Amino acid sequence: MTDILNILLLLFLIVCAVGVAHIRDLLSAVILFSAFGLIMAIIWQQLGAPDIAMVEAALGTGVAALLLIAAISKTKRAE
Amino acid sequence: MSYILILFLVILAIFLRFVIGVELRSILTIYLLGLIVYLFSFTVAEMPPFGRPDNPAFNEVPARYLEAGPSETGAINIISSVITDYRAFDTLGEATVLFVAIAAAVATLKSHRY
Amino acid sequence: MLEDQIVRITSRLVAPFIQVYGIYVILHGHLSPGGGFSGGAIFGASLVLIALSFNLEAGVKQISHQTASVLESGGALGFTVTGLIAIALGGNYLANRAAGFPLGEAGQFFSSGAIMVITVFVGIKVASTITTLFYNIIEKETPHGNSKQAD
Repeated sequence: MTDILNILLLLFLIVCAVGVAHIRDLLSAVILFSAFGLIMAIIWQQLGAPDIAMVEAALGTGVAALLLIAAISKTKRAE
Repeated sequence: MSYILILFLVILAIFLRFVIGVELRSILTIYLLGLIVYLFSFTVAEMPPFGRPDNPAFNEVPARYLEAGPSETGAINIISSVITDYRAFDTLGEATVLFVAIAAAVATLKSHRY
Repeated sequence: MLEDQIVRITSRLVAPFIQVYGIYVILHGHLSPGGGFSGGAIFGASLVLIALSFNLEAGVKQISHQTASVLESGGALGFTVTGLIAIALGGNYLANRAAGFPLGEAGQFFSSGAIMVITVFVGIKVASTITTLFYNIIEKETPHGNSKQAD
């Protein structure tokens, strides 16, 4: 059961990574990147590292996405 | 076995290039990616399984931390006792990296002010 | 920045809870998963959330530029001074039990001596670093080339 969950999470991770590289709209790319960070946090939790999961959920999902949104708001949205 | 595989790949490349008309660059790229995937899966298959007690990473060092950590540092969170007591100098280096990074960012973003 | 009512009300409702959780993670770093980096990142994320969903002035009202810079340097300085106090007490640099910090009883809130102090300093440093970085990126520039003084 846990194996199925882990495989699904890894598949979502790959889909998010490919989507970030392929999508043209930068704001959508940031949101996909944030989803990537959230899935990565769940994977850290599954690997037994809850403190790393907390750092990833706060930094990788929250702050990195917010900094990128700030950068987009000062430049153009389209690639 | 491997000679047959290489022969098959070469014949497949010639077939794709001259009969179907795929560019040689794409064929070589796909072959290179396949080689990388093969090497990576070989590496992953050789790795020890996750969480097994007789893994090579679980030697006498983590055993010592787990046994003597709470009594030596007073913290029941072993990770915290490692990163801020046993390896506190590492954490100081990490904080220094953070400090230098933010100093560089501020110096770059604010260099036009003065 | 984002002129959106839903985002504003949601972030105003959620931000205090995020801050309380960040302080909890910092203060319980020696008892539960987490520590200075995790709690500081959570606390800094709440401040950044307020500054992003309202505007820079609302974020600066929470913690000003000057305060953030002082806290950031002070966190690193406090970490270093804690190690020097250990030398003054007769141990190695950043020693805990060997320097004679009161360890207390393992599992209690006030325990583990220097670990709690270092965790609090690291948390302050990480939170103010994130805030400073965000403020510096988001600040508007006036045509004279000077950044707008926000406070």
